Amino acid sequence: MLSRQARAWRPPRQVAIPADAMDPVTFVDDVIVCRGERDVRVFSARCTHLGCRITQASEGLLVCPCHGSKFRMDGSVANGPASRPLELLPHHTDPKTGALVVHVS
Amino acid sequence: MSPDRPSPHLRRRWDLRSSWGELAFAGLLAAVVSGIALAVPYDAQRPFDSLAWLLLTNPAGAFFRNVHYWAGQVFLALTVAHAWDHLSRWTESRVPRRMWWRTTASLPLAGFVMLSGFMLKGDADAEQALRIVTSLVEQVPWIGRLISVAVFGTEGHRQVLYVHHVATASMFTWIFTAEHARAMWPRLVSIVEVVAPVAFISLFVSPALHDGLDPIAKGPWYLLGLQEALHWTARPAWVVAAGALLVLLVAVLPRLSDRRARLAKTGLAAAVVTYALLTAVGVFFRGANWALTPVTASSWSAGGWRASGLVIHGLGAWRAPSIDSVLAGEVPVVLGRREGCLFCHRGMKGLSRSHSAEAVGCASCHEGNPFSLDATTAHAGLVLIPGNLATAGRACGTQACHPSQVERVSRSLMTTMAGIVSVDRAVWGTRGQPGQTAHVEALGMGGADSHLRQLCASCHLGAEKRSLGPLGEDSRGGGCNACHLQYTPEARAELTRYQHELVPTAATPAGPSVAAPRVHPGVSIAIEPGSCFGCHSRSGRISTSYEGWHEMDDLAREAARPSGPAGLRVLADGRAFTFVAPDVHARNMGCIDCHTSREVMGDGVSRAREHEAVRVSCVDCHRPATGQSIPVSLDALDPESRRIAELRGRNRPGERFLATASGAEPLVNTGVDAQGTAWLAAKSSGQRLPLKPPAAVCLRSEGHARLSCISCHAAWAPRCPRCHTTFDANREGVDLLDGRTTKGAWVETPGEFAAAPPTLGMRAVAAGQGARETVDTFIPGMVMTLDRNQSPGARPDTVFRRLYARSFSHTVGKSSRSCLSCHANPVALGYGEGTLRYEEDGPRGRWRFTPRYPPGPDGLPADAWIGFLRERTTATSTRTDVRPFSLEEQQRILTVGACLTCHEADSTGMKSCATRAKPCSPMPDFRTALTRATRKCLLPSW
Repeated sequence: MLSRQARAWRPPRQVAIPADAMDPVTFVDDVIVCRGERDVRVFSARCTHLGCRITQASEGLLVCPCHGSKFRMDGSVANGPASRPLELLPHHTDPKTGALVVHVS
Repeated sequence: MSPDRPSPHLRRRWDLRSSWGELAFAGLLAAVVSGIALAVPYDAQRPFDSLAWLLLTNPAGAFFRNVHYWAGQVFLALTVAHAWDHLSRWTESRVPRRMWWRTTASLPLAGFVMLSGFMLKGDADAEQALRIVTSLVEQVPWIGRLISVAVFGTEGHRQVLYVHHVATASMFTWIFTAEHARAMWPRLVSIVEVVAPVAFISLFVSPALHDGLDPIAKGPWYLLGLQEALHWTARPAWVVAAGALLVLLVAVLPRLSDRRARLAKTGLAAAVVTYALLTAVGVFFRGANWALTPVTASSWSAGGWRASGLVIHGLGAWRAPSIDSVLAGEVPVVLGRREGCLFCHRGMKGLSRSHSAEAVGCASCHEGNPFSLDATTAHAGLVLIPGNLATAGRACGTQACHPSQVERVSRSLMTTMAGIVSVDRAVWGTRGQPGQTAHVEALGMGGADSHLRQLCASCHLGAEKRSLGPLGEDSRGGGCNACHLQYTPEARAELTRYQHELVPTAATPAGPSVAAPRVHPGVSIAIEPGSCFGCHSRSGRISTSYEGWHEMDDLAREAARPSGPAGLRVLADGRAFTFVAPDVHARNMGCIDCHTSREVMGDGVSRAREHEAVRVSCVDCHRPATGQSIPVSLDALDPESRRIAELRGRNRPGERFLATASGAEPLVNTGVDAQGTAWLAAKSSGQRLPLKPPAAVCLRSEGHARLSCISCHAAWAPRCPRCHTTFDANREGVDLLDGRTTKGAWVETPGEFAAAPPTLGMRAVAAGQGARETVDTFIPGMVMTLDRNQSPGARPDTVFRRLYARSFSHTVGKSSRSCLSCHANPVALGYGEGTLRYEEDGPRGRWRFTPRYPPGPDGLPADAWIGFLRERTTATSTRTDVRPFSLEEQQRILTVGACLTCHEADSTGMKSCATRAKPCSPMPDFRTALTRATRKCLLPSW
């Protein structure tokens, strides 16, 4: 029970990523968008170690600035101290603007 | 304690010896009072912005902030000292037991007051600290969430945290402190003993506000020990539980027996020492991403305030204008941060929309301190010329900007010089093989490496651009600036004005009145060939050859002297060039019209040699009409190419582009219209140029199927054999890598320079199943003697190398070279300059060659690649996939050459006209042609 990560209550909200942000990795707000060759994965930028916001990618890995946890582009842990993969976030594409709308909660 | 005795407080009114506890209490008082003053300008709804505004425009407020910070540090440190002091002297029994739990509680309360103060900064450090602490708190079962929200609020709503810092925690800390100190406030003496040094240090050292630029986001120093501990465990809850247990241990101390209490205190002391060690690691040995990167002297002095979280400044920092004279609009918010730079440097022109002051501000690239309006403080740590590779990671290459480009460039050949370094070392013969990945910045000191340092090592992107101004003929390196910095005439004029005014004269003594430049050089993708010229007018002379200029050796220059400088071009370094013939593409196209960004900036893979990095080839644009590959549509472009296409105005739906045949890399400056016709838009002028397919003759395969385009179309190439390199121990040299003078210099004595149609040889195109070879162009790479001895007085250590290099001279001519220039030309065959004559020898003929130059140490003519009708198979080049002509190939070539001594190249005798139905081909199937030889024909004998 002590190790269960209690989910902090945050009001649900949406983050929109503009259609022309096409880089392989985009960091917006609390969200990381990883565009692979075929699919797009959207992760929460909160590191699963202690909740720091992950703000950078280096050599193909997402790196947390607080304690150095590294995650692969599929969200799995490449290097600790984090032990759980990044949380995948539901998203859809806005048909009018083409923006990627992510549900953050 | 007896109520009749006066309290220790009154007895010691003027005693200068304050205890740790009294001083800590004084620190608390100073913090509270300065905090009241600070609460006025601070706005909990916009904490970061209100603090930035405070730093920029409110010197008095900023001073109170410093006092608040330093008083808090004093309070925290001396509280720990006070607790240690009393516990070690076993005086805790003076505190009544019923009061002890409150005294103990004041320790975590003090910690919370400090931490909440740090969090209330609202900057990047504070936000990350909040995330960590709330995550930890939420791990408490059942009520974790509740505590977190009640104490820290929610993201974006930190009002409750502010209330706890200002009121709840401060109030209870004061109450508990006063209770066990038995005084409402500390003695005057203690107050003075704290406030005086705090005020003094507050004048010179300010706590930094994180500017959002630094990748390092660290918590307050007293929490770094905890962060270090958290780095090592995937179960952070245990670390927090351990801390709670320590506090609990303190709380039960008075109830323990002496032996157990002694044990407990030893444990507490050990915990404190361990924490101190972890803190030291966290402060001094952890950098970005909590990686082990010690804070070095250079990082401290350059951006030291970032490393420490403190800004050291002089009294001049308090000269900033006050609130009354600065309007909010004059210090705009850029990228979520007040950009104090723009208060003085407003109205900056010259930058593109994406790099303008409104888009990225100044500090994003130039660093410095954007939270001060005092010039000296603001310019501390300023990077005058960002974009050098040492700072590019923080300026151009931040996550929000161009991270992948900076990473790619750091591995590209123009940064590593891997080929030059490894080839030089291989030629030296002391170590290594050509093709190993080497790096110019990892050069040693002796042998080939000292040669490289003195003669080669300035032409890499890691070389720093140190002076302001445009790139010129003698520019070397400069990181991103080497290509992407462009000075318009206005920017040039403005720089001249600024530098002129900076130099004090009697009429204009330079001072604060010198207006800062108003026009900034541009940073864009409009890269002119002039950017490439500095380095690429050396070595293979690509830049100069492309424009049609051939370097003259000293003899030629002397010979040209009587006719005067007309027709000569003299470069900034004194080398003279004569005009031969430019490349046909030079009329409308620059370097980047062919060379893609993945070639030039690298594709992220460390390449060992240039030929591995170059991907574009003639046929990518000059495609045969048949077999044309499918053009690439706009949607299929990779993100970077797509962005470039947009910048160049090529983002209309339906746009199509050509791609390279070799790697399917899109050529963004090309287009394919609806009819399938391809064109190229010159990047500099925008002019559309047709892309003609090769002539029909190029596609005919008889006899010349293996020719590359340039083996016919390279009109001339510079040749410079016969150079001699030796070490002069008495001459002073310059180490181009370090910039220092050296004792002893490598001296290169060149031979003659000649401009001639290049030598030909064979190059392997593909390995394995589809292995084949193509005829390609070569020039003397290193035909030289080298005396490796560097010790004066010792015996010479001479080696001789005869190596030709595959080189595309960038001198493409519209028409091809003549048949004779290959088939009866000693230079083309690799024999060197001289006379090649076909003589009668009985019923047949015999080729004879008289070289121009005397033989070298190996018996071959001094400028040759191979001997006349001889083969060389080893050590002919530093590339393993090239070779000179074999004997059989030489014989075949010279057989045709023999016919050409009588027959004109375009005569029917030389063409294949076996039947009228077959069109006459100037490149006949020669076996068939030979069958038609008459008795008059003198075929060669070997």
